[in-house]
Amino acid sequence: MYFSYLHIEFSQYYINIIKDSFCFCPETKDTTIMKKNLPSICPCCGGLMKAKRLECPSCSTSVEGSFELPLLARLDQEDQGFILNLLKAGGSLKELSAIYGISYPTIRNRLDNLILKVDRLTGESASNPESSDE
Amino acid sequence: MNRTLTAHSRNRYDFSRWLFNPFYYLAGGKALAAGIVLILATGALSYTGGFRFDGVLDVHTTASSNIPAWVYLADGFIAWIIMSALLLSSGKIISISRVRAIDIFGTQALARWPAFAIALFLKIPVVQSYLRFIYPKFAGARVSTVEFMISLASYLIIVLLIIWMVALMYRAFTVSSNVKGAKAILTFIGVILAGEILSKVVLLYIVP
Repeated sequence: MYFSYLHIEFSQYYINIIKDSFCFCPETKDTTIMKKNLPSICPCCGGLMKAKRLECPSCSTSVEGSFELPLLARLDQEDQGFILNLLKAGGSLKELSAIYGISYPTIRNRLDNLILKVDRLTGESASNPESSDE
Repeated sequence: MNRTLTAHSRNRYDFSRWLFNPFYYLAGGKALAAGIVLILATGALSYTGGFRFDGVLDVHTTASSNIPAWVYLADGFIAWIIMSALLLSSGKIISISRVRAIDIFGTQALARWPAFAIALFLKIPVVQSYLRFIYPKFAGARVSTVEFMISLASYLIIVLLIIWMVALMYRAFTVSSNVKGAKAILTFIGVILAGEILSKVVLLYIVP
């Protein structure tokens, strides 16, 4: 499944290059696929963001409400990558330190700081009252 | 699936990090082995050069000729073991993370590598001869300005290397114990003072 996704990405990349080469009025000059980060913190007031609308790209069905972002989605990309890598390393910090190329205490410190971050986020979501669905 | 399992190796070649915080990459048994080799090498150089590292931070550019060879080797190990033991105890008290003895001892051993650089520097014959000029100058004897300036510059280099060593020891402590901020600084200052006193007391008892 990963290979198919990568295959589609590269195909799209080359299609865009061909389009821009032969089309005199290209729709977009951007030949790279932009990866968007899901914001979890409000840039205005610093509050926790919630998902209000979800849409299916294949059949255009949309669902509206007030959906709290899962705990893992509220972490930044680097932390999410770290957690995934830890999972794939079977929970072995030693293996993870070899993957990252950094020392064992550095990896362990990162994990401990991440645990504190998760505890803080868990505490924040427990203190925020849930709003009713629209 | 392997997309997320990319090695974040862009930091591997960060030269400034290797200089000022090598413990980001190296700790545990490897740091311990490298550090012990450096401490032994420093002891050997100080014996052949006639200077001593008698204490956690001390460097004496001249030493008594009556001191046996094993004392020069013991100097480095005593300073290292005392500092490591004190930092391990403090780290276990103040840290939220699990503190491993091998990380503390290993990184502290490696952090003493500037002492090896000092030993190499002092082994340069011209440096040793010029260092002697600074004391007569202060005693009022006639010393040329050039000789005095070279002597002063040599001492400055040694002081800078000692500062670098202390900075590395602090870094080693913060990485191995996962402590930072005022708590880490105050603890480290307390430990280094206690370590200096303790190392002097131990050396007083063991040196014949």
